[in-house]
Amino acid sequence: MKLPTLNIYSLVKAPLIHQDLIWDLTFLFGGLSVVYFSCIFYYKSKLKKHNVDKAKRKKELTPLVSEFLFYNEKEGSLPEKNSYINKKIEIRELLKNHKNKAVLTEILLDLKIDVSGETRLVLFKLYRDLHLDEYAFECLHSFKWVKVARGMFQLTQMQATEYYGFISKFINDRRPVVREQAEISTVTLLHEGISYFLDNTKYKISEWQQLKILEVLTNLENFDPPRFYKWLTSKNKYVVLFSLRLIKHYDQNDGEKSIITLVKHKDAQIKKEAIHCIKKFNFTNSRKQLKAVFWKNKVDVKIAILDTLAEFGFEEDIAFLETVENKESNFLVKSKAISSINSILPGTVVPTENIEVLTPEENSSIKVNIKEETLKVDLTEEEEEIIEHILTEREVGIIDDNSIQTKGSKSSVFESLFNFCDLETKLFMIDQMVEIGSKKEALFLQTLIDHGNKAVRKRALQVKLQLEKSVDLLENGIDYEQNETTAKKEDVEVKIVENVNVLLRDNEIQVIHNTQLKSLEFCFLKEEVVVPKPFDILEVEFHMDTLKPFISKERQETEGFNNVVEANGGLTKDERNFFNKYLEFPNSSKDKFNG
Amino acid sequence: MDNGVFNIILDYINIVFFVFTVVLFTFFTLMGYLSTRNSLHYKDKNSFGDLSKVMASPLAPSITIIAPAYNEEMTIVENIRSLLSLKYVDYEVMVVNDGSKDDTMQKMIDAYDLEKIEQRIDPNWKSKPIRGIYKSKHRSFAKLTVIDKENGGKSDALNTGMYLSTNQYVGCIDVDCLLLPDALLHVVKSFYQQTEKRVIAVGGVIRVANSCVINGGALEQINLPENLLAKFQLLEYTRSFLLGRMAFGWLDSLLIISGAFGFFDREIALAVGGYDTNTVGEDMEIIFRMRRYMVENKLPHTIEYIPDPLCWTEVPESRKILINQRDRWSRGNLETLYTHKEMFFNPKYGRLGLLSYPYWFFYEWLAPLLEFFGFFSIILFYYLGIINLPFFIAITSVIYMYSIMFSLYAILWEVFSYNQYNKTTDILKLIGCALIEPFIFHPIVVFAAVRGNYKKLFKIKSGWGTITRKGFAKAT
Repeated sequence: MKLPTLNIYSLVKAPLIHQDLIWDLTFLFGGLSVVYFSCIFYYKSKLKKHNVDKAKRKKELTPLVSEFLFYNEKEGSLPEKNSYINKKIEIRELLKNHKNKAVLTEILLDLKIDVSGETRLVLFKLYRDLHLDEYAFECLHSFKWVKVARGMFQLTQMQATEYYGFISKFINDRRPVVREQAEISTVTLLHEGISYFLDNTKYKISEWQQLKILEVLTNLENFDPPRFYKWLTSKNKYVVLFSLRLIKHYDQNDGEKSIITLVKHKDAQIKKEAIHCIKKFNFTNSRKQLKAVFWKNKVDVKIAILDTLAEFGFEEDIAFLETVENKESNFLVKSKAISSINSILPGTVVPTENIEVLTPEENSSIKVNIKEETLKVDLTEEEEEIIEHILTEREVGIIDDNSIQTKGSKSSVFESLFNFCDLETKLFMIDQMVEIGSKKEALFLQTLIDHGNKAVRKRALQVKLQLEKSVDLLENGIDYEQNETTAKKEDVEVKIVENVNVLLRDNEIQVIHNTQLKSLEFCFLKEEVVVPKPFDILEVEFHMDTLKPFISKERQETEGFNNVVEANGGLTKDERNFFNKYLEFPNSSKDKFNG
Repeated sequence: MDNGVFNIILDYINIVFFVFTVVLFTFFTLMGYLSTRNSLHYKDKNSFGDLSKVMASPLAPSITIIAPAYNEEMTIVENIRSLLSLKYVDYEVMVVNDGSKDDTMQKMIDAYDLEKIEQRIDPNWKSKPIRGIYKSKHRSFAKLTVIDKENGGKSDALNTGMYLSTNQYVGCIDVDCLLLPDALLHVVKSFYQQTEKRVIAVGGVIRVANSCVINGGALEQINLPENLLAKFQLLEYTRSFLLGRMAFGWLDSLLIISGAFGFFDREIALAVGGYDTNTVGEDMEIIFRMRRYMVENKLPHTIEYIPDPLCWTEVPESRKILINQRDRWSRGNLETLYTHKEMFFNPKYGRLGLLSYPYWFFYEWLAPLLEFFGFFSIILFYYLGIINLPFFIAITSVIYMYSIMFSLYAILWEVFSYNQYNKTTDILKLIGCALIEPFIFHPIVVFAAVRGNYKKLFKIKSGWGTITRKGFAKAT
């Protein structure tokens, strides 16, 4: 037996590439290039020809359509009627050509956008008269999905409601484009179409489809939406999601229990949508549920929950929000928790980072500088009288210092205004804080020391120090005699005015909350923030209760507060009766002055 | 014997080139077929209905368009104006001034009456420090937000915008790009029409705006570029966007969306850490990372691609700038492919690992290098007298004919789908470009690619380079 000789050389030898094959390929590609070259110009010319042909047909058909649209059968004379009938015959003849049918349909679809009312109804009638609906209906039986969808689209646009039954069968078609068009058509053709759709759809409803269906519903005339909460129990989660969105859109707040339950749904989108509904309808009963599910969720759902709590949360929710703030690692959620806390109780959390702490030396050195600047406050005679009066009362010991408490908002009234005004107003507001500021303003000014604007920073620092000085004077009691010996008389006067201002403001806030007067915040927000006026002591709204701290408790108890007020420069009995009878009783001394 | 072995080696080299070429032809032919199917489907699907009706829908999502700006003082005001006039209700334009050295910031402040606002920023967020966030005092510019930050590059600027945005979707565009008014409607549709998979990003065609007439931020007249280099690029973009990406889109294997027009699901983009600031191919790299993130977390996802001409940009008209641009692209390509090398023929990543990645590796990265070295080998072999001349001529001819055929197919498809260049002379000029492109334009691109790879290999520092824009022609 002879073993085959191993020819290594033949094994390592590269297989031969047939150059003829390469040249064949070259000619093939060359040939295809020529074909494509021809196709480019053939198609270009075909396109041009098609456009010209279409324009020609449009030119021929458009006047006929216009004539049909605006022809009035009742008022038309006999020759006009004859002409009308002849044209109808003519157009029917033209419609035997499929190209004409397509062009005419296109003309009618375009016209539908431009006409309305009666004319639009005539247009729909004409569409049927010319049997174009039958042509579109034929398309529904086509194997090509694009033809079926286009047929449905045309019938829908022309309000061919008689085909509703045929079209609605397609809502569960396996071809996506056909199915989606069927859904739109079903909802458009009949008002109850939306119910049918939500009841029967088995497929997922894309976000885009939801958007389009909502747009259709919004444009339906005299549409009375069904109660969408009925579909919140659907097995198709997309139906549930869409129903929630429809509930929100149509303000249907009758499914509270179901909506709150959906907060526990496994799908994050449904959960989020349910939370949005809860927020919109203020379902405060959901607070427990929201807090219970909070930790299991993703960031966006957590933020939605916090946002909702911010909207209608109570003080008892603060503890939960604080836990979130402390435990949550995500910055956005943490920030949202803080903002929610501040929404429920404004000013609870104040900035702590990047706040400069000044050393006592720095403080005193600035104080010395400020002392050199003399504050000038121009007071009218009336103002001086009031101050004199209050100071006299104070000197005789009527003022009960314990009764002077800051109530109401925990943050400065300026804080909410500050971010919404321009630089000039910001500086103006800071200036005003010298006059009416208290501890809260001092705290707020502390935060402004880190402000991005240099001018704001500088002014805030100056005013803060002035304010701290005056607040100190107020809180620690002022030894006027000592002051008289150590400082100039004018300085003392200014300090007194500042303290009185603070005093008045504190009391005024307290009373506003008690009597539900228009609050100072609102005065600023609605009127003052646009055109800020200089502070005027008489512009401040304060109640007669302002005098309460100045009247001894014993006297109030024995004589009654109102009597004391009336006897101490308040209204006379006659005045009071007059106002009670004809006008609102003036609650402020400003009212009284005006009166 | 020695001579025999050498001949065998040469024969094998021929075989390698031949196989490479055949696979390339097969791949490109398949791409042509798939893109045709996808385009026809897209065209039919969008042949009826009106997009604009849904622009103000309460269900329409909010979008942030992030436009990084660096030394754009000449065009910034006009470009922002164009971005503010898009046909959509709920969107925000966020311009990130990336530490411009010129007057870009001041121009914006003056033109749009901007004022600084306070906003808390995550102290752990890694990007260059933000100097300030600005909003306009005027209601008419309420959609505009300007972020002023220290220079950190395009990726850093985009990351900052992405972080500060609160909207569900973010669009990262070049500030000098012109978006057509209904661009956002198409984007929203692409994001919203899927039910089976989550759409993590949407990309689109980039069209060449050189020599086009723009007025008030609107495209008034489409013209073929006058500059030859721009014409070549137009042809290249047509091939790449209308055929290449459309085919990959059909296969759900897109691994890149253009940095000039890319929209992202913000949640996923942030989950992967945003753009990589250490690469110059950030637009490709983020897609790789987002894809990997989704695959590794077993989350069904897709990337949508819009073939409609929605974004128009100026392409380089000077050879130097073009080379710089392509140099950067090839460096970015190499960096991204290297970073994600685990994907190479990795079945775990499905089509991405078995098809897209190898395509990018062999035909986007390796092919220019092979061409370059092949060219010099041929010269060397010719000099040594060992060249198989008939084979060389045959293979060169087939490649040349194929490139022409493919370009003509792209032009045909452009005429069939959008027919943007109405004049017959324009089409003839494009065909002319297809004929001479392999001799004039292609060598430049190959050279730039080799230079980029060389720089990357030898760690020669090179950044983004600058592209000098001429600005769009204004209507007269």
